[in-house]
Amino acid sequence: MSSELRVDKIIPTTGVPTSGGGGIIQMVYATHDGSAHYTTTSGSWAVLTSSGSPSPFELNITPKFNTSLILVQYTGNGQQVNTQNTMSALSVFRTVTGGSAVNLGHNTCGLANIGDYSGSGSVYATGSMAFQVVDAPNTTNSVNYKLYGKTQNGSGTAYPIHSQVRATLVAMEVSA
Amino acid sequence: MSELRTNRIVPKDGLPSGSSGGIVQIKYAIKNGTQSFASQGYSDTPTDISGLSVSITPTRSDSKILVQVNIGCHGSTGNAANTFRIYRGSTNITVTSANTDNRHGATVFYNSNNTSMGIPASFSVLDSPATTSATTYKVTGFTNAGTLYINRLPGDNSWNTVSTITAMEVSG
Repeated sequence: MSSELRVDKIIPTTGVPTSGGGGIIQMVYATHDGSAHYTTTSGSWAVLTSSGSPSPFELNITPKFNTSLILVQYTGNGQQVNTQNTMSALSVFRTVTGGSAVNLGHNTCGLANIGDYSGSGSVYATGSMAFQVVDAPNTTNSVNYKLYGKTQNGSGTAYPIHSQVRATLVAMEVSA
Repeated sequence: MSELRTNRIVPKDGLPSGSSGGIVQIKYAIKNGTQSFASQGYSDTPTDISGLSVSITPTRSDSKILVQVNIGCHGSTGNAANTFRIYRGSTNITVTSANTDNRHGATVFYNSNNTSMGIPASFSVLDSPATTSATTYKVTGFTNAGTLYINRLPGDNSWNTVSTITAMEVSG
């Protein structure tokens, strides 16, 4: 027997828990197949672009309620800047239609970073870059989540999203 | 106390183009033990990570499966490509045909410095199995130099982590 629930909000019978949410109503995702790097030489946050797809690495979701939370999850790989003693940083910025971009991570190193500080020079490290963050955009307009990157100090080229590894960005609307 | 039983959760007006709906069921597995992998060649068959697999039976053929994996791991030497992949049955669903050798996977860690390296490996994939039959997702490991350790440090087996895999059926 197959059944289908069409609903815009799912909450426990006792209500939404404090600092939490209810069920997931909808989900959107974007996947990169690893065909090219996403790089930047900027020491300030910059939109990550690539010769692969998608470029930029982004997705859009339209919440059903302005009380809804958006759970944003990312997995992928990064590689440190191609000079010693600095790092590649990754973050996600949220933009509500008509508004400005807001960094959901820390202004210095975002939500994930990778670097080698052994100081021997000409080394590079590659590794998992993953994060999850809960956002409260407070809107029922379309919300854009876009990946940004930077080098720690503006030296060299950062590889916040490395090629040859599948990267996935997911946004889920959580009832609240 | 109330209980809702359903096979599909979508917004009242249907799914927007390109999106999926709510989560219907979750399966998970936790690997508590340790494991180590000796160096393999690029074209060798990657090795299964024991205990890090789940079997899920989608309730609808249009459902998607979101597979999320977290592994505590350590490579014993520098200049080693340490790679993980997710398989559906015998099918590698984490790399494309352009990325065919074992250095390519769902996640890789590598350090050109001549030191060992520990790093949490977190990766995921959204799969469309298009079936209502039981579907197994497993994780493999690979290294091309030294030894890849799961849930432990190279020189000390008393410092341990656990690794997890979760599969969620997402309404399509």
